Amino acid sequence: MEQLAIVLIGLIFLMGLMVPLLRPLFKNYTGRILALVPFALFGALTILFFTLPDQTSRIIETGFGFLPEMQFTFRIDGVSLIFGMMVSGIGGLVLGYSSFYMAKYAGRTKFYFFLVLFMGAMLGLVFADNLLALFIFWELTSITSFFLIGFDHDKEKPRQASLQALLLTAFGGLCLLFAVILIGNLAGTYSLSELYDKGFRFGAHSDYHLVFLLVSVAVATKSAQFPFHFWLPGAMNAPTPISAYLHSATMVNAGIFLLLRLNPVLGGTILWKSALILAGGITMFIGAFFALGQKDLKRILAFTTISALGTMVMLIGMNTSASIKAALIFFIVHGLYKGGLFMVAGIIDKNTGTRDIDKLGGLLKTMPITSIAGILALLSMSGLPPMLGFIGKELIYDAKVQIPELSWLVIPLGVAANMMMVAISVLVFYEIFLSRRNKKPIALKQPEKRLPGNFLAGPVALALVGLGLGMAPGWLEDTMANAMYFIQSEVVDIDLALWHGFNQVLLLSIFTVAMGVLIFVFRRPIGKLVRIIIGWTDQYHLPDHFNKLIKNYLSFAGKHTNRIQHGYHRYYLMTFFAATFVLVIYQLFSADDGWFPVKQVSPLQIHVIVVLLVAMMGVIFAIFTKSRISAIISLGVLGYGISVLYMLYGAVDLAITQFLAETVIMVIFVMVIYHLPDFAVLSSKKSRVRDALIAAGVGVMITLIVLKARFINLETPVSEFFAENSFLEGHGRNIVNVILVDFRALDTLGEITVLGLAAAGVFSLLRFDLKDKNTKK
Amino acid sequence: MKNLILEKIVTLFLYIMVGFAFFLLFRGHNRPGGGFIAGIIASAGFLLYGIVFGSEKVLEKLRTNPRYIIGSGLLISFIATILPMMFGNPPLTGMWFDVAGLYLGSPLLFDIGVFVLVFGVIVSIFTNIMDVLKWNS
Repeated sequence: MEQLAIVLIGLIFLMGLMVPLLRPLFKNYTGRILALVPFALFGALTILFFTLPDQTSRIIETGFGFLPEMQFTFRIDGVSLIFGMMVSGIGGLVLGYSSFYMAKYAGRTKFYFFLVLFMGAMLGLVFADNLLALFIFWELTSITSFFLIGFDHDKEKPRQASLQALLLTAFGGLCLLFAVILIGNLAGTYSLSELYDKGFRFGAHSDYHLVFLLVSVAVATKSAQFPFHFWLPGAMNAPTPISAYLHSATMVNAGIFLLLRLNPVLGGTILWKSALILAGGITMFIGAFFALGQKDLKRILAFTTISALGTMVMLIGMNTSASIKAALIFFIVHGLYKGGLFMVAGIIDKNTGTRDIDKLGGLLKTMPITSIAGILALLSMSGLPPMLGFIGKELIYDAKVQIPELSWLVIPLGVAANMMMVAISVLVFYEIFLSRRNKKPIALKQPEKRLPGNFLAGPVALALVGLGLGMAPGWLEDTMANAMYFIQSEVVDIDLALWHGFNQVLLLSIFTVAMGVLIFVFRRPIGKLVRIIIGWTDQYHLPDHFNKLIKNYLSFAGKHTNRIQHGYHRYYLMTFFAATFVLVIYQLFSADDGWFPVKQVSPLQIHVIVVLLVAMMGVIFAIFTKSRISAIISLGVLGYGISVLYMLYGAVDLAITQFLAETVIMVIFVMVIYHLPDFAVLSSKKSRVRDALIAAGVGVMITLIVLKARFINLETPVSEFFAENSFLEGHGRNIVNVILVDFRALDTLGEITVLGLAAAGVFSLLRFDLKDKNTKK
Repeated sequence: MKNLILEKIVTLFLYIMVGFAFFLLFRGHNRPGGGFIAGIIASAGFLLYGIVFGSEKVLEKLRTNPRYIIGSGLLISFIATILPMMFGNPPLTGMWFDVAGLYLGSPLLFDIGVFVLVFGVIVSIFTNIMDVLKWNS
């Protein structure tokens, strides 16, 4: 079964890649057919869910990886099962849901392509055992979500939102990479199971602060924690199925998942507690607070997601068994109700054309099924029985009450945030599903009965699961206990029940609900107040500041790039030559055996001297001639002179090549020269002196290098190996050619690639006029 | 201006150069020659042909765009690179077949790739230059 689950994850990736081929085949059924794979995975995971023994994890080696340290090994334990089931189950529902929702959109192939790949990446992330593999999947979710958020790429807002999300989460991903490498180096292993087995704890290590900082930045950017929370509301610009998926079980919860995974390794220190509780607490509060002031249903939901994420981070930060238990349950609760609510918002949007809670109303009568699913989800969100949300909230309060040293801070914050959540739930319930006063009746595009079943199935199924788990939370206990074992590395008994008796926690709940209703009753003055505060904080609107930062950074980079990349070929050459000259001469001077080798120079023969003199005269003539063509021809003399030298020293192949290349160059030169303007001296005397100095310097440098290279004695010269093996191994008597195509063929492969690129460069340089003709710019 | 004698000579010369290039290509393993040299020689034949007839005639003679020649050269060399990997050897391992005392092998294929690519690069460069100069057209 474990293998099957991993194979199914692979199949999801494969399906994602094959979407462009599958869609013409299945047409409008693509979404529903693609949904079969996640559902199958969900089924396999369910079986594992009920059969996984306590305190065990299953490690599956695929034997596939990029490096010895980077193997795609997967682990199945309580944590990955809970997350994996949410990801695959909601993923399947979302796919079925989008089948109808996206029916009228263009680019559905792209949509399914990225959605399914995103699902696969998320599942890989959840099940990964190797930290580097986890990082790769983490980055994959960032990239695919970038395309999903920016799906309506012809509009300004989604583009900006997706870029913002990408920049932030990719920045976090970079931090995660550093953190992973640090952990791997310090612990000597990248495998989570080894880290767990050895009981590795970083708490006391001197680099702990750095690792923690990097991990927390990764988590905060991915899971939208203060002060990086601002990208999440923007991400709701995506089509609703995407929002439903990103907000409920995936993407933003990846950070939560990472915290749970690393809790045994990094958790439990003062820094961990204080930083996470602080960030989580602030995020929880401001998320709920900002949600109160919104009018757009999706925006309201987006801000409540931020609040929920803050709650989870805070709970993990507390790091008691009660709080981790609460965080796990709350993850399930939140996934169920948030996925359902977003889908409900999508259905309402599709069927009425608006998401404004001021315009909507009385939907309970006109769209009963949607409304009931929505109301159940709202009950869960406000933490009322008999939903799972009630258990979640009780556990959260329980966890908060149990840490006396911090309860003075977390209880007021938590109660306040929950009050606002209750108020929001009641408000949404009242405004959308009940109220019809003072509102124009809203017209439905089609009666609810005509909506396809798979469109309504998503929210209904999620609401029913929430309800069912609320009634019978016992099903979760075994897997929860397993997960707790791997998060807290201790055996915890889990006893979930709807009714815990009349105690302090229940009192807090009742108080919260009462205050929430009170806020709802005074919603008008409170809403006004909240909007005033939001208006005031808008001058510190973080997305704008972020955009400004990026813009300034780009212009800064542009300015400096222009300074370095000025576009003058001669200055590039000059910089290059001068820099090389300085570095090489410095190196030569600092060498031990002096910089001018004098020993072992064999005497020059007379005919070599003659050739050299002719070649040198060619160069000198080329410098002082007043005609361009004679300059080129005299340079040709130099080239031929060099090939004669090759010939004299027995390098026939080199000589032939040099002759031929020189000839071709001369012919092409002569062809071009005809069309160049008259030869004129445009440079000043000063610049010519400077150029002469640089040229002479480089000449001297090359001469010294060549002379010096001659006297470097390797133990056994490599040429002997070539000479010996050329015929035996390479079956060729021409050593040069055997070296080129056999011994050193990789170099040749690189060189011919460069040649091909050079031809492409020549083409694009010469044919820049084609651009104007072919493409409008 | 048309010059019949020149045109005939250049056409003949083209075939001689290409033939000579193939000769050098195949003997390159034992005596001076090889893909690089052969590529330059073959393209030199086309260069002269182009000077007399213009670049369009060169392309006509080639029957294809030099870009594709460059690409196929690279592809041939690349095939020679990965071919040994299919047999479990490291890339670029020389593989030899003894055909009646004549050794043929993947290095030859590699050399042919070099030849095709060098030929394509030079032809592509000079035909582009000729087009820009509107040489003989």
